[in-house]
Amino acid sequence: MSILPFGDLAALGLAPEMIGPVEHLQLPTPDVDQALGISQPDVTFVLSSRVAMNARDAQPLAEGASDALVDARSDVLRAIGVDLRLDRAEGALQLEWAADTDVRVRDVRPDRPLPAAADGYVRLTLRQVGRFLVESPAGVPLVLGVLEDDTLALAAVSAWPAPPLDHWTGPMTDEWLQSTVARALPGADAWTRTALAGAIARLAAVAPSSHAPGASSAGTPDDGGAHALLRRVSASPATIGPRSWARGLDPGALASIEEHARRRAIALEHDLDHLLAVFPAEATEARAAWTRVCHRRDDLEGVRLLLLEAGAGDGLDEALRDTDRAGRSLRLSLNVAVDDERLRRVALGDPGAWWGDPAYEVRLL
Amino acid sequence: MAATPPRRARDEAALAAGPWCWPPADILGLESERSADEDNPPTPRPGHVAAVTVRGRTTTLWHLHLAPHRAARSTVLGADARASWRSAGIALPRSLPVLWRSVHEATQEMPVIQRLRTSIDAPGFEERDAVVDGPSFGLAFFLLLASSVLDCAVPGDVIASAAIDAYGRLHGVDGLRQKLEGVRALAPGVSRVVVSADQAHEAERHAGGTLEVIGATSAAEALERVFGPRLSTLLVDAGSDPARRAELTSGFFRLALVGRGAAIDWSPVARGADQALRTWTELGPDERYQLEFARAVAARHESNEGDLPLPDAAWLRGRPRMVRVQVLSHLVQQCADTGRPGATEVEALASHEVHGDPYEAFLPQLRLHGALCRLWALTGRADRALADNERLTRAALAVFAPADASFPLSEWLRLAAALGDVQAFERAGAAREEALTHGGFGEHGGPYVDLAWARGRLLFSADDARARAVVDRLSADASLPAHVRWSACRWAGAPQRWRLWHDAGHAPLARRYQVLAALDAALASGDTVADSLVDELERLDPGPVGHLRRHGAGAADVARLYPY
Repeated sequence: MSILPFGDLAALGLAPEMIGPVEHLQLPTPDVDQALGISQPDVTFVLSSRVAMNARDAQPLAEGASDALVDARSDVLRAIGVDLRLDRAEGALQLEWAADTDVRVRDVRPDRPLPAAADGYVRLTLRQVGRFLVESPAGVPLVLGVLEDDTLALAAVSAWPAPPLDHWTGPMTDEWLQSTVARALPGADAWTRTALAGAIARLAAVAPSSHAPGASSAGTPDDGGAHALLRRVSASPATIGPRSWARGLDPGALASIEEHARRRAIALEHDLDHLLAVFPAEATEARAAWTRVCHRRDDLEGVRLLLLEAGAGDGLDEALRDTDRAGRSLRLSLNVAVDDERLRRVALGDPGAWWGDPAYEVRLL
Repeated sequence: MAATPPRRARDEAALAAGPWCWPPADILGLESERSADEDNPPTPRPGHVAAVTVRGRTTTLWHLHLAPHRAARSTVLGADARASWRSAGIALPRSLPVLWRSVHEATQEMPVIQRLRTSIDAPGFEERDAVVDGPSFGLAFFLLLASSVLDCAVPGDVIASAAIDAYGRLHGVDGLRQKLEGVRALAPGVSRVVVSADQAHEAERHAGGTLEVIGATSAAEALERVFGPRLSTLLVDAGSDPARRAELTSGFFRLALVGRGAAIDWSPVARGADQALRTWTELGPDERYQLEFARAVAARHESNEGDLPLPDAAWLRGRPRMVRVQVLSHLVQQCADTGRPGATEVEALASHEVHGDPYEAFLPQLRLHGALCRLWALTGRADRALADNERLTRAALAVFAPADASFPLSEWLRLAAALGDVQAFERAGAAREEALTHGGFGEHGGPYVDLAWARGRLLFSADDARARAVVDRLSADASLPAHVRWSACRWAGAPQRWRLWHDAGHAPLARRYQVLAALDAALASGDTVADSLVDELERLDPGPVGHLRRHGAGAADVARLYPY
């Protein structure tokens, strides 16, 4: 289900494929105090980078008063380094961020002027229906929010042309990569498609039969992996296509991709720092958790390759330094066996990548 | 002046509250980062603990503390949480018997509870009620109070998640998996989690290899595990102050006088009194005897051990009458359970204080009489003990509450069955039924009466399904005193009896009942191993078995008359 009708998206300069999966957050039901009849002010967004503001009187909250704010989890906002909280008493939503994930937020309803920026915060008052766009300070759209009735809908916005994956996967002989792309493609937004393009450019290989889907664990590092690696260095339509596409992007699109990738790298670093404490004890869950973070890192690696191809990516490289430090530290603390063709290929292509399959990394190191 | 960004302010508030939210120094190279920041976790403070709650998909880490004058903002506690606070306050003196300063003062105000962090396991808003409720703060409240009255901080790497009752028994909590995952996510500085013993296995499954699980059956055990040797150090230190020493000595003595139910776990009392005797060098004779008395009584409650000398006659005469009667009751029970002091000497002293008409006796006098009955049952006078227990029960039921009749009624039931007196057993059963209709025997006395009734029924008919169900239930109830549970295992069905074999290797008390169960089987099959099993039982529990054998009891008599 789209976050907005196509016409409304078009009015914002957005195409449907620029909109990521929609996350719906049900607003909490009124608590006892509200049931007793305390009047509610208009629903208000309080958007602040420096101070927590009281929505009613625009005064900084007293120390300790933050207990009045209800936490929320939004994976869409978290991916761009923004936290969401709710001041139930004041009927206000509050978005918070750190210096390296600074954002600006604007009301995108056509009948509303852009809010005046104050020192460290911006306030948007929304009545009944609200729409807002979270952007980078440079104006790269990041997240679209829609408040309707008692639900807040959020979706990542990848405002660049989606890569034509179909053109590249059709002639491919790599069955694993073909099926991987085919599974991910339905409904995929521009970010996901771009990450897949990066994966095609990096991981495409003429896979021997032992590396067909579901057979990856049967092989050994020596029985075809090295051949695949050698073959991958040869140019093929699959490896050339994404690179050509990246080189053809305009500076605005490249900046958008890089901004998204940079924020996702920072979010991944935080998640890696957190993961050691919460790492699942059960082997299957542990493998799944580790594989998820490795895939996230490999998505970024694919995007990084495309950016480099287009002469961009310095900001992403800088963000990835901390991410990779956290990843390497975590990798050293854990002993998780994975069974994943993608990570096997990562290790074969880059034995130093902390997110590659450890078994293959050891052999090649 | 620039204000602190809200996210950072929130993190800083959580880090400033205590050490719980700080990452361990030894992971991910954080030690060096800390040094660079010249920033370290705050030292744990007395009267401050962390706790965790679950509400739907939301897990919340809390800071619980006692704030003077309600200075701090606090979330409101609901009825169940308030009941837990009261239970913790009642359980503390039972679990930490002699070291408290003023539990009353500490429990006058509700604790302040402040939200530190939350985690939400799926996209959405935190689920939060206007009040925080439920029993899972129980053990955390208890540790908070203990820490406050001892002026001794709970270690910063510890968090507790267990419910508590007023007897200091720990019970499981809901949502343990989510709570432990929440602890791991929200409180990386926490490496040990205390849970109810019956949830320890479940907790270990969810501990993720990063949390050490401490399972405890009682608050007293939790205290021992959490505070460790620091409790002993506090005790030793207290002995240097004569006034405090006298206060503590008196506390030990009073506690021992009250009886088994005054403390859930008597081993800390035994150890504490023993340590005081060894380390307090300026004890007078009065203080010394009070401590010896407490040490011996505690050891008896714990494992039918403890050496209690007869008191000096002048000392005994100098006690108020009711205290004197209670001291004598303990001496008689000590004699019955451990074989020391000698039965003749103890009976001579005690007989002066027994009231001839139980309907005219005060409760302590009834208890002394009951203690003598128990000794008589072990020393060749079981018929007299049976008759007197019936009289004592009827008097207690007529004059006092049913709970006060639980001990003589248990003995009436037990001895009637052991002696094969069907009529006496039926009369006892009728008295039990009547007492149950008048409110029952309470949480402490009820299990003893139930056990005596059920084992008696099973002695008369091994196929009695109702009785079997009772012992099965008792054998599985981890909150009961260990000897009640193990004894119930002896009479229970095969699956429960198997526990005796399973646990005998590491639980000495279970070993006794394992031997008794083996003795039952040997007697039933006519196996000659019965005599050697009685030898083994006497080695394990020399007091009662020694009395029985010295008074001519054979293996079958020991099996029938063994008192528990």
